[in-house]
Amino acid sequence: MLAIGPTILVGRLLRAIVTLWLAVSAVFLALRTIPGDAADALMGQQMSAEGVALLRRQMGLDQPLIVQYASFMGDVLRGDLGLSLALGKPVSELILQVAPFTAVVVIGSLLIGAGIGVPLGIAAAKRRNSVVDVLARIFSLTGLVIPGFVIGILLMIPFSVWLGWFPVVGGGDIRDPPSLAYFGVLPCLAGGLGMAAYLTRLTRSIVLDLLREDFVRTARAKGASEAVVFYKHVLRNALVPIVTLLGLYAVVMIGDSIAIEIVFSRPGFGRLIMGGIAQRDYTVLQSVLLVYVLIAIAINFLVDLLYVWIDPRIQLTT
Amino acid sequence: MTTIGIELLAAKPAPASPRRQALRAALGNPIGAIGAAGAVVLLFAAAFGPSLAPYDPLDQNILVRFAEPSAQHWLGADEYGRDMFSRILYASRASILIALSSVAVSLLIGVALGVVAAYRGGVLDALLSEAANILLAFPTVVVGILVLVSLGPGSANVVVALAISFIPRFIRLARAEALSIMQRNFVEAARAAGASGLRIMARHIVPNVIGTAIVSGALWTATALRAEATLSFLGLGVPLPWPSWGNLVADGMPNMFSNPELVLYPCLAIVFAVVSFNMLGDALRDYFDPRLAGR
Repeated sequence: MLAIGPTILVGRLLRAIVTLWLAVSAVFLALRTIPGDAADALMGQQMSAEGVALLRRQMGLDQPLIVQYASFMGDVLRGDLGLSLALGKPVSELILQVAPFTAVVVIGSLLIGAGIGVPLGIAAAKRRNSVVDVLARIFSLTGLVIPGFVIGILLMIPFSVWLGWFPVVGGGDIRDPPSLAYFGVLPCLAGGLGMAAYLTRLTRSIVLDLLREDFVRTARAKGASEAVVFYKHVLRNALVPIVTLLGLYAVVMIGDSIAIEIVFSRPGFGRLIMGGIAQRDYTVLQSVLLVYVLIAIAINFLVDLLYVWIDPRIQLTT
Repeated sequence: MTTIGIELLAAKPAPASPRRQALRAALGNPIGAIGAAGAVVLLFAAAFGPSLAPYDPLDQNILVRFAEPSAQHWLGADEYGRDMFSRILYASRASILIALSSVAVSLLIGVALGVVAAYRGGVLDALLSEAANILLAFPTVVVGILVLVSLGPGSANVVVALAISFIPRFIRLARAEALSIMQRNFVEAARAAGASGLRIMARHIVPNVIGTAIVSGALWTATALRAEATLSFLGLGVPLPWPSWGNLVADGMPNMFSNPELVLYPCLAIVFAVVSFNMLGDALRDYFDPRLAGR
């Protein structure tokens, strides 16, 4: 099974590192093109011109761009994300504080998405053209493209505003896991339903493909029961691509979670980013974007490897 | 593979003009018909909505603040007494225009780059493919935030932000399509006849690739609408007070408890738009790529 040679592993790792380097540079450059630098942003808070000049020197903003870039890269490599301009606290502290709330949304959405999407896709494939299949198709066609924040609002209006079952604002108490889950129900559904739509469709098509395979026909010809054929031959093979797609969707989910967190006024990366934009807190903004980028690259890298490891027929070119 | 291809060809009726084929594809099944009808309504709203709207979308009338739906204000009025129906109608123009132009821009650039990459091969191909792969690794919304924070909000900048996300997808699609077309005899014949590389690409490869790209364009329009709504909701897209569906939702959020319908209507407009284009795109793809039919 272990088909990954060291060359491929190293090649993939190199690609991930190059991607990461390009992404970090892109974040650095994008934020430096904004008119007015971070010191100007702070000047809005009634600071004298000398104060701004001092601050600019302290922040290294009077240095040439290339020097700033080098010191930025050095900081990132050491894991030093700097201080928040607005709050004066280390950014890494702010990020770690809210990370659990974002993790609840992303992981909860993935679980709901897989929990609904995979069984529904299998049911649709097993009973092709039945009522279940048609309903699954409609669900996947609609759910796939509706933005997560819209699903969130469409859930919030009946369940929170009208019925009052779920809270509208906040993410719960970090020391109290049940409250985290309770505050997470609607946000996770908002992310999870879209994902379920995506997985329903792909699971159905994967299972349909497998049902046509020779080994399934052989198994049936040998007299294996439908249940054995399905669970031993079809499902086991279907898990591979499904897990891969789950990983790829996790990247989409990270992007969607921003607007979902804002809809539910939850603490999290989404609020950090939007707050960073509003307050021109560039260190916070660039750090959260870097965290997103790092997660996206890590997931892509793992999915790539998983792909080869599970199905050695797939040749990765380095 | 070949036998399947021949069967499919044989099963099809006499070749109709591409336009008629697309029409049949769109209307031939209920999903396509619903999607096409929805898309027509949306294009109509975007084109003529502003002249049909009963009120100026920016006109404030404090007397009808939070008015209930009535004969005068079909969907009621918002916090500043602006007519909701007019605002949603106007917003359709911004949202549809941004979605269509970002797909059109990405399609043109992506097809051009993809065909050149496939035809030239070598280092250029490797660089373009790798660049596309790298860009594809990032969520559209995160790329959009980065671009819009750097360029500032605004409709044209949203188009740029979406195009950066979509171009790699069209490069990939066009490259794969072009590689398979290059194996065909007519390309070989053109080369033997002494046609230049540019001519072969422009006259023989691009016309065959662009159809596939346009068919997938309807699906990308749905994705573009989705991303535009999200970015505008986050305050990075169309700047207020000009309405887009996404910023109308954001605008209504503070009064969610007292007036949830002001948030609900633009949400329903978004749902209507993305689902219509997705259904249309799905039907078109099923028709033009029968291997995927019913998936």
